[in-house]
Amino acid sequence: MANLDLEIFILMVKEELRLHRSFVGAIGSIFFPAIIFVLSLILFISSPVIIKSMGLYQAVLFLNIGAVSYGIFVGFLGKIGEEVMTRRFGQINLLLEIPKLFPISFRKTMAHFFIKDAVFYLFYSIIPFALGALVSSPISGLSFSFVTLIFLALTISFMLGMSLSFLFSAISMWSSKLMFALILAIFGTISLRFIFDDFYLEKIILPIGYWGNGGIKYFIIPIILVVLFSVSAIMLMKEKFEEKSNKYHEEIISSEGIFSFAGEMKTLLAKEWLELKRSGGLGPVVMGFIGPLLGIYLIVSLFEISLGIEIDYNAIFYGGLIGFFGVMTYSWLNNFETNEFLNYQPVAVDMVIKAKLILYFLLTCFLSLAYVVGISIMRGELDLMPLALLVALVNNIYVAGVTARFTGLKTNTMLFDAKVLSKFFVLVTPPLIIIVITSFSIRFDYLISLATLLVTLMALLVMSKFIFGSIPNRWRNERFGI
Amino acid sequence: MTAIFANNISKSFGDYKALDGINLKVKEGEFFGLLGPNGAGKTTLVRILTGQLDQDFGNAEVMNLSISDSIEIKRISGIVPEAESPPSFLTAEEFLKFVCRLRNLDNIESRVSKWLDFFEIEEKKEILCKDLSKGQRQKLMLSAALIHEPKLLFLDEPFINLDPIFQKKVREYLFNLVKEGCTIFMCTHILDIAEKLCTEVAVINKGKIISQGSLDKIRLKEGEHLEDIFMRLIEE
Repeated sequence: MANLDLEIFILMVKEELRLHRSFVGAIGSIFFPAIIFVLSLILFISSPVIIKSMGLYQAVLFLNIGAVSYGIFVGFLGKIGEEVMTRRFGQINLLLEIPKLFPISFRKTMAHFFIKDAVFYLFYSIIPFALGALVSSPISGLSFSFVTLIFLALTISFMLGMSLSFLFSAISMWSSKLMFALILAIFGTISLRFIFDDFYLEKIILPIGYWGNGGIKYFIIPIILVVLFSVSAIMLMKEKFEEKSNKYHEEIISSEGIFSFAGEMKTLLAKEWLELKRSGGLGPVVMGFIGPLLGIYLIVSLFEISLGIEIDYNAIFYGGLIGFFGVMTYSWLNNFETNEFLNYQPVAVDMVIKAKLILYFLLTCFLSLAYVVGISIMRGELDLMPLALLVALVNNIYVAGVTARFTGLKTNTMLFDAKVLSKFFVLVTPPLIIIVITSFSIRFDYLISLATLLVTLMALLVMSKFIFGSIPNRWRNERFGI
Repeated sequence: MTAIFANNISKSFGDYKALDGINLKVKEGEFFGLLGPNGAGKTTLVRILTGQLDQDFGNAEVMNLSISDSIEIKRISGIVPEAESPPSFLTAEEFLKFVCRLRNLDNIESRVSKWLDFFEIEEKKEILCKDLSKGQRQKLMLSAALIHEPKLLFLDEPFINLDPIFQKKVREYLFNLVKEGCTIFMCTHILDIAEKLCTEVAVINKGKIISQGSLDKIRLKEGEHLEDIFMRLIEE
């Protein structure tokens, strides 16, 4: 039996590797860990400066919050399992389906899948990150034992996020209301951290107590949490899935009416809208956009409160971030339907991209503007608000255009392609850096910063025009599907 | 008049040669059957002829349109793919109405109800496509291909997943369509259906057309069944 377990595990690892290769090619599949390694190297080489400005404890806290978030992103395994078992996973068949035909329980298969994902992403991202820290040590002066402890802490934090997300997706199979109640409870607990000064929640649940003079024993509670969450998730897995078949009244024609302003695009927009609504994707799309933006604001506020200093991230800075998070939102819009059936209708891929972009702007424009207005008011920066709104709007248009131009309807997979990611990086990073720098300098040198910002925004608009114009040529003859 | 014309079409996927110099002519009003074993290149050829895939070499025309004009080819023809794939989160009724709107058709309600009625899936019209059975999804794909009354149909294994009652019903419907002047290009494994329907067949194996003509023309002896012809040609 132990042999069989090992064989299933090995086959699942092979499956994962081949799935990645089929999406992004052999070079693309090693590009992601390579990027992680390079970013880690740069980060740890500059770590003496970072530690000097924010302190070791805060820097480690930041890294671990990142690892937990990454784990949460990776860990929606229960949902994937449910989709596979109810025939909704596009054209890909995974080993997860073996309980349908063979004498093995779904719980056991999911346990294998969970361990496989943990090991795979450990090698795919956490280890390259730790290697970057290790290689940087001659310059950064970090000791081997420090790097080992950081690696251990990040692994635990990543597993914590992954197991928590796995648990939530398992709970959601039984009751989405219960899942939302638990999410609210977690947010409630986190908010206690802001209310009570001596309630160091992060020291208890994250493996960072060591750097807060707490010693190695602080690793134990997070490890117990990982085991508890993972085992609970597996125990909560359903063995039988009922394929619900809800009834819906016809809405395609009436939905066209909502989008009549879009002319001939209204039919495709109506379809996109109905799919988004019925697939349960509207919530994740909106939260995937506004959640990280609020999260960054909260983290910065946490620093300001806990360190008693003012970090000068103004409304323009936050406006610049909007486009960046829009990539995830656009990607979500492409995840619900492969549109395979459109290969047999008189529709080209660029037309559907156009519909997705219109829907994307409809969903994000109001949220972006509300976010910038809210931040401007909360930070007392009404003078910067018009400029911040302009930055948010132009950057959102530009980044969405670049994403659509280079990834089409396959954003999730194509962003792992080495060539595409490089082009994306070259086009998106420089304007983001300029926006961030001018957002800081505008308080010291208003006129030059304003001029730089306006010229940058103008350039982004001109480039957007060309980028949007080139989408049909790039995508017209592509095929729909995975 | 020629409905489909292919000249020296070749296509490779990496080292694998899927199509190797295909020459083909299908006349208007013909029921053309493309027969071949698994992996012979049937679906690849349909995908090239309908502009879903670019060929490496050769050229082809469909109803005097170059296959590079894929949107126009899809506008004038109806296509049923090998794998049934209606949109997961639209209902059966919405899918058909959506197709009507994409094709700018009139009388949408009557067209949709005609096909829901024909395939006896009226009571399933408010169910999402992902929750339908394979057979019901196949019926929807057939409806979507026929709803604009095209003069040309590309059918890739259209009878898969249909029960015998609907196989017969669809077979009779297609037979009548051809009598009215429609051209049908059909790939199938079901040889007795091909034998009953096709006026012209081609047998493809390992990416090459190994025989083409009317059933009478490719028969070695009177009364030779299509299954025997097929086995003989493949073994040769």
